[in-house]
Amino acid sequence: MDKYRILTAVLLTALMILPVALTPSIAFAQEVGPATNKITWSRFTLDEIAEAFRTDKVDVYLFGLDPDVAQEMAQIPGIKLYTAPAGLNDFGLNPAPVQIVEVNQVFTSKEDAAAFFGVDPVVIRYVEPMEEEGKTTVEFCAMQADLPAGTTIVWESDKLNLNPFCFRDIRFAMNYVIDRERIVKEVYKGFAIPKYTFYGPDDPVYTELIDVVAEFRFTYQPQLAKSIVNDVMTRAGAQLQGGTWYYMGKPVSITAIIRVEDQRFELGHIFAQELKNLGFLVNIQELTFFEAILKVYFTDPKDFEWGFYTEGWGKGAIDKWDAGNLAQFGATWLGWAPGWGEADYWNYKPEVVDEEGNNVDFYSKATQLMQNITSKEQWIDYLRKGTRLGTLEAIRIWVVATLDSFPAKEDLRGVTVDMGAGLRSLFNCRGWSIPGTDTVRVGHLWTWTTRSVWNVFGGFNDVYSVDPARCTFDPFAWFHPFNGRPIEFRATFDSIETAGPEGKLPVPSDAIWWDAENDAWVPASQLGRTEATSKVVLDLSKFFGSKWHHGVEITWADLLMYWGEWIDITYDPEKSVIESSIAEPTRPILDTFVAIRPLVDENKLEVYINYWHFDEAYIGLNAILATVDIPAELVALHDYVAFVTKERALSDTRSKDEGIPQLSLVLPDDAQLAKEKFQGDLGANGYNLYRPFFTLPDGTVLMTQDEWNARARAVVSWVDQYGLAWISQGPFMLTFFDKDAQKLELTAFRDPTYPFGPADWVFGEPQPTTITQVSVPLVEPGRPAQIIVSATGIAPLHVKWLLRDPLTGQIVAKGEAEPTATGFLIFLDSALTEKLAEYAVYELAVIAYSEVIALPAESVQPLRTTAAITKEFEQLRGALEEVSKATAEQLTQVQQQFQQQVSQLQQQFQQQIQELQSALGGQLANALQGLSNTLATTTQDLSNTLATTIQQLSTTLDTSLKDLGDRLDKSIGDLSSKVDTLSSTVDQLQSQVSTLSDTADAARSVAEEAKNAADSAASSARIAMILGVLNLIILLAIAALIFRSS
Amino acid sequence: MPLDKRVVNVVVKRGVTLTVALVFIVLLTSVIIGVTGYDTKVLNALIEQRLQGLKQALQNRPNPPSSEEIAKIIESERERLRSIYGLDKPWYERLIPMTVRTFKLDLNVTSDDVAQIAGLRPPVEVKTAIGVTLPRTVIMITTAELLSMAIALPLGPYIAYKRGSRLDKGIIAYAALTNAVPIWWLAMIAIFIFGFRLEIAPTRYREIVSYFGMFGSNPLEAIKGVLYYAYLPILVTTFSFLGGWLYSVRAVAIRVVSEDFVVVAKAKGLPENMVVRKYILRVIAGPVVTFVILGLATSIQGFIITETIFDWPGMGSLYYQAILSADSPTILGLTYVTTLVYIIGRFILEILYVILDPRVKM
Repeated sequence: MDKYRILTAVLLTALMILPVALTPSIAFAQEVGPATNKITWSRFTLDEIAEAFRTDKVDVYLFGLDPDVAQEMAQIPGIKLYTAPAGLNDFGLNPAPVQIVEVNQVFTSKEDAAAFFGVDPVVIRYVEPMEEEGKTTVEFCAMQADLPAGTTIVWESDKLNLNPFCFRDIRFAMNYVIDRERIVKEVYKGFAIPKYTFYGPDDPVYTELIDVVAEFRFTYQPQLAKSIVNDVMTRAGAQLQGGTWYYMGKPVSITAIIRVEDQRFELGHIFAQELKNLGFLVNIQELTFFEAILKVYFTDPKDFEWGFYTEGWGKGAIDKWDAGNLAQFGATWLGWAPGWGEADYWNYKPEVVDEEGNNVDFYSKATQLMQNITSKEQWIDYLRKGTRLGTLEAIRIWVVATLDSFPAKEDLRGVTVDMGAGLRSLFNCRGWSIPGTDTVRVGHLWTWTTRSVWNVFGGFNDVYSVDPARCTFDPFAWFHPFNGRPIEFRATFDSIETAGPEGKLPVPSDAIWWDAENDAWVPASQLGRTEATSKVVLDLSKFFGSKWHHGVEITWADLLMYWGEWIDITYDPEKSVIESSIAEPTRPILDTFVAIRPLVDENKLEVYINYWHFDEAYIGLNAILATVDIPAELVALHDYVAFVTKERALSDTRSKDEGIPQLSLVLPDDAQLAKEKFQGDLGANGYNLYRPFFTLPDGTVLMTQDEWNARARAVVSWVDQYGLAWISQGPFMLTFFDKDAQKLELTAFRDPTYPFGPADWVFGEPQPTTITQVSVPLVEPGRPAQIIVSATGIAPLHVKWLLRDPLTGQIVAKGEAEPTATGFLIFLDSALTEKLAEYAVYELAVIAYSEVIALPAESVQPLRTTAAITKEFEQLRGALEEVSKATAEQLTQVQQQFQQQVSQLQQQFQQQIQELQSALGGQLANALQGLSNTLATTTQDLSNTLATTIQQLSTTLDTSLKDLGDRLDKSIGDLSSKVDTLSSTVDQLQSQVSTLSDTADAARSVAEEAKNAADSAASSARIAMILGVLNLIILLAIAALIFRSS
Repeated sequence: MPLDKRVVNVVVKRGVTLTVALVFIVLLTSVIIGVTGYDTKVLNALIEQRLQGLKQALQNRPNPPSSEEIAKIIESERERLRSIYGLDKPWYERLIPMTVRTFKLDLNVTSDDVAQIAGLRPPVEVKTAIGVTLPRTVIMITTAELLSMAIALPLGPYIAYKRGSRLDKGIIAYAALTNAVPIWWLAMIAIFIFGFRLEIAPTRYREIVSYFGMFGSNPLEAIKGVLYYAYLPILVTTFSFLGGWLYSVRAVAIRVVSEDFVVVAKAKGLPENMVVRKYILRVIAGPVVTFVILGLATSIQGFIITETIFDWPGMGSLYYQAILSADSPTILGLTYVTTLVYIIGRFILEILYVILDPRVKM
């Protein structure tokens, strides 16, 4: 029996253990650290990646695919494509003048100057008065041969007599010759978003600019462009001969610089053809990157080496409050407008000012540099105004925002699709896993290039080093993957206090700062740092006490060493010169830091900064001097080999300058170097050398000699084990790196002190905000209309709308829809619809967006109007009521006259009877009296009968009119219901018919039907009215007959 | 046999002429680079691209520096980079001394992109870059040339001798095919079939670089690795080269086949082998040696597209990248090395002509 008992016990135990042993993924899910045990990283070229997926050699690819490759990948079963905005394409236009003159008078407007020169104001690009000198500089877009006396020619072009892109109206009109929808579909195979200005749905801040951008939602209207060009060119004095514009006997030409490497080649040719269609001679130059940028960015715009250029821009990380696009692409002060800020070149100056007298540069500086900004509302207002003005300047014609496509196997779990970085997001490797395996195989274009440098001060300048490194450390704070707002990561913002933008907070006396000249942490007050704009308390409980990958505990010494070294490289008189390419760009950032106050026992750090933002999360983010991602001893190694032994450079510039290699902790040579140093001088004397970095002003030393020694041994042991020296604190350890084989390997870090689990940073895919239905009825001018929008997405959702006349481009109305139980309600009141034309088509742009996710949904629906029938009916009813009223009055008059005449008749008759009585005597008198009485009775009867008849007539008339009114009301009701039915039919048709043309045809047909029905109803109403009037006439005729007969 | 004094004189004269040609070619390359301003333009563009990146990075920071500060930083960085790339001097001050140093292969360092082809961390000296890249090309291209020669030299005269036979027709068709089909296309097909589908060859060949670096420490493993990664590229290249080689050797031999002395030898009933070897091969030795020497000399230049398809960082890729990034030292270094090898080949050829064909007049 015992044997059986034992056997049963063993079996039961096995049954309990086996499932656990056989389900590793479940086991990982309960552990700390990432979701998968291993990530391998290998190189795959774009040519081979499709085949690599087909033959199951890779699970996910992190290099954005070309649209053609993406299209091919989309066909492979089991592969999913994730997309994210990657870049922007536009046509940069050269707005330089062809002639610049100076005149000894002061003109403050183009009109005044034009009057002086006797030209149309359109030919003057810019007028710059110099009041002190009593002069004015005038820039002409078309050369002027006959200039008035007192004019000095400062410069004139020997290449062009007229530059069409110098005219702002022509530049702006170029928006109408770009068929963006077609370009997205045909050139980018759908992997792009149409772009109308420098902000679009791919920017988080777009939700604040929706209506501003919608104002510029250009459609392809070459005829409109042509009419604008014709008008401007004619006013400027050019002639159109044989389809080509001529000025001063020469054809008007434009030099097109078209890049050959990507889709911009096709874009350039499409635009060039449109320019030819407008009558310009286009000299096409197809150039590579080097040739093109030298012609465009390194020549004076007024040398006209280029007329337009197919520009392309990469997109950085998403940023919730980004004013960078406006500054870079719309404004001129930052040096990205033609002339590029070069002192020797002609530089573009903004032409358009708003009603407040400000130009785009004013708003751009304010928003980008937070100058004179006191609130979020003001910042948004300025950004909106700047965006509008920047778009009107039209120095760039925006075409598309390109999308990067990242392919991955469908069964890849734990994916976060970052709206900026796509699958390259920092969050991804933390959550990635594939069922049935503990390894995820990542492909990238490269794993190592000569620019892939793993050193924290001067490296990480390419995606091939940044992407895998992000799996190995946790930042203190990061950006939300869906909306770009800063979020807490390894550090939390315990509190954020600010006196900004104007006020100051006192810095406590025990706050400290690194004295770079004397190499020590000193009281901040000693360096004159006594007040700051903001104070942020960082809670570092998830950081301190956990472990570095080599098993050493993270302490305050790590933070102080890391931040101290940054300050030292930036401000130390010797180091900042040696590594000036690191120090100089960092200095303006570190200049905003005032002091820190380590609250050692609480694991909290107070940071005092001279920085203010209306969004507190940004103040928090800017209080992080740097994420501490390597231990103190490795920071010391950086310093030691860069500044003490000078064997390695930290920056690329110094490496080239001095001919020494740049430190990279993943390369075997540098790992060996680290080992040698820690076994040698740095191990023995490093503690004393670097102790000031972790010694507080009160003498507290935050690391002991023993700790230092243990750390040195741990590094040596790590190098021996893995052949590299990259040691960090994140979910994966870098355990293999072979630059020649282009491979690296990441192994899960499952130390129990690590604070995060596999699912903690999985955001998934942004649930896109989608517009599921827009029910647009046929709108009758003068009658209120309701439009219901159904949208889905992450709450809170908002729906904005905008009604635009596509013919004029004017915004007719705009607003925000009200959320109701049935959807978002757009209410167009009668005062608004009254402004709409009959039988017209308007564009109703509906934009739904979530406060959480950046990418909004947009839907543009045609809003059709019908005849103003209700108004006609109302007029008709009014007319009938008047007729009814007039008839009643007339009948009353008839009755009164009749009664009066009967009364008179009675009186005359009485009188005659009395006369007869007196003449004929009593008997006859009695007889007459009887007759008289009979007559009186008869007359009274007649009168009563007439009154009754009139009353009946009046009642009949009233009833008829009422009937008519009712019938009209019924007709209106019927018509309305018919219109509603037709609207619903239109809706159904719109949802059923898939292609736009079918929808348009069907809608047209239904609209035609509606129009016919409306016409038919109107015609019925008219007939009814005519019948009514005829009835009335007949009734009146009857009344007249009665009257006459009586 | 003592060398004729006149022969020595002629060989020396040819040597001098070829050396002058070498110097002239390197100088001409240098002047072309300088006068056209090619390197200046490209280097300027590279610097400005870098500065644009820096400018954008500075501006995109949540708390960006002021425009004045950015301008100052950019200008300072521009000056540094111009000085590093030597753009603060006129081209002749930069290029002429460089040309002189070229003859000693003392050429400073390559650009980062060129170092990337070499697979080495910057700074990388030009001679080092060429030194590590050359063996890779030799392994793939020169080996394939040698294999093709080894097959074509005995087979070419034989098929010429058998002119009109099925074998001859087949070889002509094969030669036409390999002439028409680009080698890089064959490479692509081969990788897809043997690498991705049959999985009997690698799909990524750059890993061979690791094994090249292993010869000192673990030669056996290195040879194994090199063979594994090199066999498919060598086979594909040989397959492509062989057609041309066979056709060329056949074409040279075919004129000899119809000569009277060959007809007489055949009529005499001499064995086929002997006729081919003694009466045909010996006669065509002169032109064939020219093919061989020049073929081997030019093989070290590599093949840009084929190398790219195999992700094989050889001399072709190095040259291409050097031109793209206007890396003047590397362009000059490569021009020098490839011309030098070619000229040495020519020189050997001149001597061989004398040895192989006494009729050659000096």
